[in-house]
Amino acid sequence: MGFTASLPQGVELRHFAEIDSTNEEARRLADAGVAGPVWIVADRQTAGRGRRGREWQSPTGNFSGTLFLRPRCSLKKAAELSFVAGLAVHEAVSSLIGPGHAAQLTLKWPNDVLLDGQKLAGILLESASAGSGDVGWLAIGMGINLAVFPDNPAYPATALRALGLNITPAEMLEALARAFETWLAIWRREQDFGLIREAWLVRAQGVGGPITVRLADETFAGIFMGLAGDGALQVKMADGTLRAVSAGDVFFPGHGA
Amino acid sequence: MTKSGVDQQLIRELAALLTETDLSEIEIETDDIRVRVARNVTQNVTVPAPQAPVAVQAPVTVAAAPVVPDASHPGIVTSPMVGTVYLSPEPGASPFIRIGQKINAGDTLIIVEAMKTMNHIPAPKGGTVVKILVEDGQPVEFGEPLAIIE
Repeated sequence: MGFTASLPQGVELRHFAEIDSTNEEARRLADAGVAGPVWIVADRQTAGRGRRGREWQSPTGNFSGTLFLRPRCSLKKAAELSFVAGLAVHEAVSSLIGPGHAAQLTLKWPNDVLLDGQKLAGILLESASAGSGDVGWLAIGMGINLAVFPDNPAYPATALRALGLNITPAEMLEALARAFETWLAIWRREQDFGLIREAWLVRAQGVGGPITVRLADETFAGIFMGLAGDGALQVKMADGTLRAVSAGDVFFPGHGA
Repeated sequence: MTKSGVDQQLIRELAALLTETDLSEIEIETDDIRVRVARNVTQNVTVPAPQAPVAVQAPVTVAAAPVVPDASHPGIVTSPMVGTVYLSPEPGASPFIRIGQKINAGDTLIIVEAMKTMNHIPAPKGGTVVKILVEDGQPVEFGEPLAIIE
């Protein structure tokens, strides 16, 4: 309904009033052989998902969208896109909320965007490997709490409207499209993870402090030391050993741990 | 069903022993598995690697060479990355594949998660699922066997 946004050249927009999930639509585009890049944006998702099937509430007024890409790179290189996505969403939100609020934005490993320690945006990437060991396609799904935030989330949450800021999904999309253009160009240019890793660490929540990590079958606590060369979360355990986590949920003391 | 070739606990213990004894390498072998743990080397996996070995920054680098009975099987599907495997799209949902199931090339067999990216591992060819070599939620290494399709 009158959803218009100005996107960088060569980037397509597919807008839906309602959809099951924008990441599911990305999978359908992949199966149909669409080349991308395509921004898939929905006013409302009926089956929005977070990590491991967790429900992601996506009512009208919030931003629900997926950037569908065929990045033509190895899976190792593609893993860096999780951090590129966090940086791009962080920058896009920063550009819309003014420097005072922007100074309160941080990234929670690997790519949640926090505002004053509360979750403002979540990102979930899905991909499929091609036979060669390269990436066949990649979907960067993101939900940004512009208007409302969930009642009893797994992690304390907030929304921009709670700060008195009224940002529309179309404004958010334009800022996201610009920020992804910038960060994807940096990512393509860089041979290794170094610059992206440094940029991420500067914005990271809780480096050097206590952290709790929840895995499928285990929860443990330690000190958040930084990122390994592949992006894994490094936690120093009580016995002094370093543990690397490539998949799990992280919490900080006083925030839902 | 054969359990995965890699015993994570065993490797952790060997890695700890390695640090404690200040050795550069420990290798053990039993009937069905051989594990070598070494320090200050890059990953050394015996499975053919389509991409460059990953240099790990952790103080102890683990190089595990699982000798699974089926490792040379032509229908073996290996993990293209380090991560955590999932056998179903979400907890409680039906698994992607079952033993004896007929599948088509391109069907998702397993998801490997790393850095909050859910990577779908497609069947390289059509056939029947003969073995599933990993358990739901298990960590996997690069090149670790996941399933066998015949």
